[in-house]
Amino acid sequence: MDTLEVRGLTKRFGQNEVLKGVELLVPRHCVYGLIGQNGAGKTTTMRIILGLLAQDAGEVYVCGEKVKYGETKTNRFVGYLPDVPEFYGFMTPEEYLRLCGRICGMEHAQIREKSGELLELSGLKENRKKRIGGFSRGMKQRLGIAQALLNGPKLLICDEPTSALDPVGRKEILDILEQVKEKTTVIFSTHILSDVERICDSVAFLHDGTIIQDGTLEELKMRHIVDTMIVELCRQEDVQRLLKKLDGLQVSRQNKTTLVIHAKDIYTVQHRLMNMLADGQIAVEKLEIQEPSLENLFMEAVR
Amino acid sequence: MKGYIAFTKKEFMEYFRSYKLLIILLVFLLLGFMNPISAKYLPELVENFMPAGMHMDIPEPVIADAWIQFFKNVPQIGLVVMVIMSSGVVSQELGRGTLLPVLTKGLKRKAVWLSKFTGVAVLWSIGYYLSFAVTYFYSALFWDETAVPELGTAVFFAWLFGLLLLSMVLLGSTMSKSYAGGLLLAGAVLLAGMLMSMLHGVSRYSPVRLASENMSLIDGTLKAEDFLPAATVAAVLAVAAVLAGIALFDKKQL
Amino acid sequence: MDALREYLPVLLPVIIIELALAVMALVHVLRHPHYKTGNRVLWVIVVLFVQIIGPIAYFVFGREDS
Repeated sequence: MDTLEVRGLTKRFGQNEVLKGVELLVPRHCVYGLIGQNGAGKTTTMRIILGLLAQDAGEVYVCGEKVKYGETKTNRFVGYLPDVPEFYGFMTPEEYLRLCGRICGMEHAQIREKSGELLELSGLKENRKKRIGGFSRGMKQRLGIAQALLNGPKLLICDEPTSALDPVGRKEILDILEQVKEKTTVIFSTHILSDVERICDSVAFLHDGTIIQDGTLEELKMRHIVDTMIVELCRQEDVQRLLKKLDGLQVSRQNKTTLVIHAKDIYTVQHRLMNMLADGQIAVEKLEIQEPSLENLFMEAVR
Repeated sequence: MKGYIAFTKKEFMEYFRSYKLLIILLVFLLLGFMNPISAKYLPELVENFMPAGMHMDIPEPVIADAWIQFFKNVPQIGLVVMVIMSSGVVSQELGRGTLLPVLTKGLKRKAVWLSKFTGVAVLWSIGYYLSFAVTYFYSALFWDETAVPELGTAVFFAWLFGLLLLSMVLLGSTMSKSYAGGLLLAGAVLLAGMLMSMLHGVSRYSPVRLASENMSLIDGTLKAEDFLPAATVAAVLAVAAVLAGIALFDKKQL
Repeated sequence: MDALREYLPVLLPVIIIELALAVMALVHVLRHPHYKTGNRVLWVIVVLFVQIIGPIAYFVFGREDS
C-alpha cells in the first residue's frame, strides 16, 4: 500500500488556478522529492494533504484513509514541518515537545523518552532548557523536525526544509532526514536540486499545477530524451575536419578543442563517431557521455 | 480533552512568562486598594486644599462610597486593561503561524479557541475578584458598619458584563488579523449597549446596565429582578460570541 | 507634613505596587535591547514617570515577544 495517494487535486484561489489535477503516489520508506519553482503549488498541495486547506476537487489518501478538510484524523499518521516553523518563544524545546506529546495523547513517560531521543537526533540536547525565542532559524528548523517526528509518523512532510538556511544548516537538516528514512516515509518540497540528488529516492516535478514527470531518479534519467556527449581532441586543426563529418547532428563548440554533441540515441552516434575518429586518424584526448543532471532533467521537463 | 487541557496550560504559562498575569494581578490589586482609600480620604483632602474661607458641605464618607468607587473603577479601568491585554490573543497566533505545528499534531481547533477563552475568562475572574476581596477587607478596616445589601449580586453583574465584553474581544480577534479587530468589536458592542440604555423602551435589556446601575441595586432603588433582562441578554450574547468564534475559527484557512 | 504622615500608612500598599510595577518594567527595559516600538530612552522615561500606565504600556506595546 502506498503511504500517500493523491488523485486529481485541483485548487483555485480566486482567479488563480494553482493546482490543475495533481497526481501523486508515494510508496513506503522512501524519500520523495517534490520539485518545482516558486509558486508551482508545492505548499498548497502539502496543506491540502494535511487538511489545512480545502481542495476544489480530487482526493487525498494517507495510509489508505481519506483526508477531510477541517478534520485532522489522518494527521495521526503525519508529521509536518512548515517552511518557516514558528513556535512559542516563551517555551523551551523540552516544554514544547511535552505540549505536542500531550496533544497527540501520549503518556508522560513515553513523551519523556521520545523527546529525549529526538532532541539528541536534532542536536538540540544542550539547548533543551533554553527559550526557543532566542533560537536561530536552523535550530528552529531542527526543532520542527523533532516536533514532527514525535508521534512516530508514517509520513513526514517537509515544506522547503532547507530553503531558508545557510549551507551548514542545510547539511544538518539533510543528515537528519537521511537518518529518519528507515523509520518513516519522507516527502519534501524544494527548489534546491542538489538537495534532492543527495537524499531522494523518487522525485516528482510539479510545474504550473500539474505533475509533469515522476519516478525514481534512475527512471527519470532513463526516460529523458536528449543525451550529451563531450569530445575533446588533441589538435585544434582536427576540429574543423570532424565538424564537417558530423554535419546533420546537433553539435556545438565549447572551446578550441572541445565539441558538445546532443542526440537522442547517443550510443549510435558514439559508434559512428568512433569510426570517424579511427578513419580520420584523429587523436582524442577525452570522450565522455554525460550523465544527465537533475537540473537538466528539470529544465527539459519544464520547457 | 487532553489537547484542551494541554493547550490551556500553555496559555497560562504564556500569561506567566509574558508578564501578563503579573500586570493584571497588580493592576487589580491596586484598584482594590484605591477604592476604599479614595472613598475615605478624598473628601478630607478636598477639604484641606480648599481655599481659606470657602466651605463645602461634604457628608461623612460611608462604606457604600467605597463600593461606588469599586463600580466606577474596576469594571472600567480594570476591564479596559483586560481588553487591551487580550485583544491579540487569537489574531496573533493566526498571524504568526504558531498554530500550524500543534494543529497538524491533531489538536482540535475548537480546543484552541476554548483554551483561549478559558484563559481570558479565568484571568478576568481572578483579577476582578481579587480586587473585590481587597476592597472588601480594606473597607472593613476603615468603617465599623460593613453591611452592604445585595453586594454579591451587584458584583456578579459587573463581572458578567466583563465576560461579555471579553468574549466579544475574542470573537473580533478571530475575525481580524490585527489587534484592532477585538477592540473594535468590543467597542461596537459597548456603544450599542449605551445607545440601548438611552432608549426608554429597551433600556432594561441593555447589558451596559450590569456595570452602570450597580449602586441602584445596593441602595435599593432597583431590585435584582430588574437586572434579569439585561443579564439574560448578556449571557446569551456571550454564549453566542463563543459559538460564533468557534465556528469562525473552524473555517479559517491556515 | 502632618497630612503626609497621616496618609502614608494608608497609601503604602498603593505606593508599593506602583514601585513594584515601575521597577519590574525598568529592569525589563534595561535587560532587553529590542522593543516592538520606541527605544530605550523613551521607555525608561515612560516607565519611571508615568505612574502605573507607563509600565503597563511598556509590557503591552514595548516588550518584544520572545
